[in-house]
Amino acid sequence: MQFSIQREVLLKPLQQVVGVVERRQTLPVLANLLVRIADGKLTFTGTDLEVEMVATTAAEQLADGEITIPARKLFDIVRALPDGVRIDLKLNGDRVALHAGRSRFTLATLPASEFPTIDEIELVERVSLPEEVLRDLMERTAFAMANQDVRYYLNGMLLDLQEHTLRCVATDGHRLALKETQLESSVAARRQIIIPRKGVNELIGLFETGDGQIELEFGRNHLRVRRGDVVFTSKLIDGRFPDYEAVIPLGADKQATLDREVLRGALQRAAILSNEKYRGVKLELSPGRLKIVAHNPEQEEAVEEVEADTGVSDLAVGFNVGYLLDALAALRGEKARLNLRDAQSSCLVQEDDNDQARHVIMPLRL
Amino acid sequence: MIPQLPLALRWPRRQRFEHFHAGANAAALAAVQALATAPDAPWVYLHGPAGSGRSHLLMAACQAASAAGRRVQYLPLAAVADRAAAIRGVAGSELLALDDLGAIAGQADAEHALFDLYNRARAEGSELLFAAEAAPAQLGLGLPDLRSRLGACTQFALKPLDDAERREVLKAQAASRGIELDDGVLDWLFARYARDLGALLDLLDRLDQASLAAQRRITIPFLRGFLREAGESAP
Repeated sequence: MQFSIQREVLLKPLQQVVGVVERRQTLPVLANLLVRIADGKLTFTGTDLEVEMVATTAAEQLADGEITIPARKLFDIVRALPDGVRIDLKLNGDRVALHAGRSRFTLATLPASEFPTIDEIELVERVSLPEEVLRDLMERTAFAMANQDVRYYLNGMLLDLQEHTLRCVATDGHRLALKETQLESSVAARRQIIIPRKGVNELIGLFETGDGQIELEFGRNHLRVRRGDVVFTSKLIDGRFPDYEAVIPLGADKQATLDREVLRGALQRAAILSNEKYRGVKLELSPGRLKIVAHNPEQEEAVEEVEADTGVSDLAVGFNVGYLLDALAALRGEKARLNLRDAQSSCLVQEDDNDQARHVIMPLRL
Repeated sequence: MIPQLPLALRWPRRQRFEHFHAGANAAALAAVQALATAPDAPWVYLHGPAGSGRSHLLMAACQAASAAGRRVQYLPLAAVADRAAAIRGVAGSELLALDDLGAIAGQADAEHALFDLYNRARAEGSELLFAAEAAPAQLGLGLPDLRSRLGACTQFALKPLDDAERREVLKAQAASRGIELDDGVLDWLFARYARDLGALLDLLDRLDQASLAAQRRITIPFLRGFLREAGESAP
């Protein structure tokens, strides 16, 4: 097994797969990348048994074969080599020799046969959509995923596929983020899968700007995402996601429409004097105006007033300011709309002219 | 008190036959299953204390019969305001499950309505399933004919699950929501909060919400604080 490649061409696939490799492993071979040359292509595979990433690139002077090489060391070496240098890598016995300019490295290997790969997933549905759209869906909901909640199914993202609609949904039990898109084709049966947190983060790291297409393959126990140069596979969380549609408020008829950036600025300033633990701010609506008040245990106070298109009066609701800021940052457009009912009911935050992105936030008791 | 309110993320309580923990009530379960799915099975009258599984079996029967393509109706009499009207309004079901029969005891109008319904169902070939706290003779019914009609059903006295069985059910229900209730927590709970299964499952609902709000696991200190705040136990 051998190949010759320019440093920058090698760095990209290594960056794509190295994030999957955990710093501490249960099996020694999981610290390695599988390097395979076959059919004129060079592929790198990283796995932690939950998430697998396969990146493909072109190289020269190829000799077929496969071996596993320490992932982090290979990546660190290639990253530290000077720009534009040509790298030659060759397997000699059970060692890999890497030559680049006047640098020479010898790396230990483990046999490719010890490396666990996910080959076939039991495919149940396949959809295709622009990479930009999927990226938007995931980036604008991932922040609401739970982190190490005992409810394992909340530590991930729901992909809900129904007819022409694909939705991404995440919730930590205090707030919920939803973003949907319309697909070109429709699916026959509804599919709901939960991708674990790590898989979501790796996938988001992979996205690039451009107008490429992405294939999503829903398997019985896996999600596989294909792009020209990479194949990402994640195990799914085996659990039921709660009935999220039931927590999206329908009776929130007290509305206020505000300039999104003006509101964000006011909340960011008020947040400075909010209580560190619960980060509470009080929103008070009156006709034409939203007042934001924050207090901390030192009795300091912040008051902000924002112009609002609303006829609501005498409504005061407390919220964790971080949840409001997250939701506003995930929206686009000039205007944001708050839909409220009372101080005990959830608030729906969305764009003024569409409901493709919806954020549900539960109040704080004042 | 945690100021953050949680989202009302809920799971419908699962009340199908496969979720019924039979314990000492295997014969009752078999009879209700037969009534739900096989035409002409004998009518069943279930009685037992709160938490013994009456409502669960009735709802499971309706679900199974409905899945088999039969028209079903579940009527919880305790939750209905005008019981006589509700009973007279029943029509067109092939299986009718009447829960909390004790709620009409002594209400002559409702008792007559039920007596008529019983005779009508016999004539039309639809099937009835009853549940109450006590056997027909002990229910306090004023209408002797109704008492004897109900007495003609196959009767089962449901026995509540014992501590070990209730622990298992609670643990399984918690696990299905992704919550761990370890043996230490269950020991503590059962030593201080001796309640029927329905009340324990209600408690689980409320604990689930409280732990979601606090983003904390359910431990003994968490449970103690929760019960103290709810005013239900103060050790």
